[in-house]
Amino acid sequence: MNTKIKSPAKETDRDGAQQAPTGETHPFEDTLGKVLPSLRRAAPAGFVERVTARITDRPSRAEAVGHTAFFQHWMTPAAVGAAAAVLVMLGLWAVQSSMTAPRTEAVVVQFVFHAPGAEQVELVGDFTEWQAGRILLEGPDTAGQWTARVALSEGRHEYIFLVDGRSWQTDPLAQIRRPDGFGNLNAVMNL
Amino acid sequence: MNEPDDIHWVQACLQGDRHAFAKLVERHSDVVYNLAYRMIGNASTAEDLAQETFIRAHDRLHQYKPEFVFRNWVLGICANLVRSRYRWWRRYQKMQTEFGHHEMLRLEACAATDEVEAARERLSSALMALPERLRTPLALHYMEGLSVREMAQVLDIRLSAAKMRLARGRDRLRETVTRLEMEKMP
Repeated sequence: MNTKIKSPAKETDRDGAQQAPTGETHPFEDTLGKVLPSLRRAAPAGFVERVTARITDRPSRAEAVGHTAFFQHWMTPAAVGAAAAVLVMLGLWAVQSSMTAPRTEAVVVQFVFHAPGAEQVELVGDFTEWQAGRILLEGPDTAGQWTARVALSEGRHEYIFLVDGRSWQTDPLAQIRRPDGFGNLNAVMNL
Repeated sequence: MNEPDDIHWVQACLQGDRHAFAKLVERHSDVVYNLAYRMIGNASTAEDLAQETFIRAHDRLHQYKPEFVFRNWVLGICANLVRSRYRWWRRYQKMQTEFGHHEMLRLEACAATDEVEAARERLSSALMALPERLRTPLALHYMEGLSVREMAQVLDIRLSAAKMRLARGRDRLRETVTRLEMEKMP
């Protein structure tokens, strides 16, 4: 995610907020200026230590990818579209979690998204509980493609790409799309 | 001796000083946590998001440009993170505003014993009752002292939109506080 902060602070701009668009003045402003700073919430005790511990303890991205690859069985490479695509159809991955558990099969899917100018592309879907930050695509390669391989359970899945942390992009070659209720379209795939 | 500035610690971190980033977290933990809290309204979630913000900042430190204010850069990461992670947030905000918030305001106001403290609590509750898009600009401007331009940059919105949200947020806050004060009268 790359934020668009283009210049340092200019305190003179603060005056611009003192006036409503209608030109009406706000004596309430004084109250806010005095009271709101006192309502500021400080970070909980031990916050700095917890952050630094998380940074120190976590595996590097390379280690994480290696760990995932250990469990996956890559079988068939998929063709890559000219613009962008989700390429499915790799192998089946059988996971037998216990003696009594039913056999669960997962399909390893390669997601490909064309975004040569992006600094980060994330994959967000029902399989990430619609939370960003869990699956980062690798890239871009020389063709501007971002890719990620993800093992998904068989069945129906919805997903969308998040570019640079703020732009939701529907997979342009998805066969099925569905409104997400937030003004975007999720791609739908059936495995 | 003057304390080294943020740029110093960023450079030290990029050169491999493992303790340098802790200095940056220490300096900006309150402002990031407060933003996360004001956006999400839940202390434990806010801490999780604030931690995640610093981890992302650490990962992208090489992208940071020294001509920018480090605090604002990390605030921008926080604002984007909260919004991207909680896509349902607007819907939740709408529900929260429609159901039960009025009662919550009354209860919180009654719980405070001291009159000044009660007024403070009313303002705090009224702030949290605002929609996020109005509440966050108020928090950044009045609590953290960001200029309108800085606030617009952090939230990645136009300057005119930032001014508009600030003015509307202030008006809504005033209306709510006034209503609560009138209800308090016998």
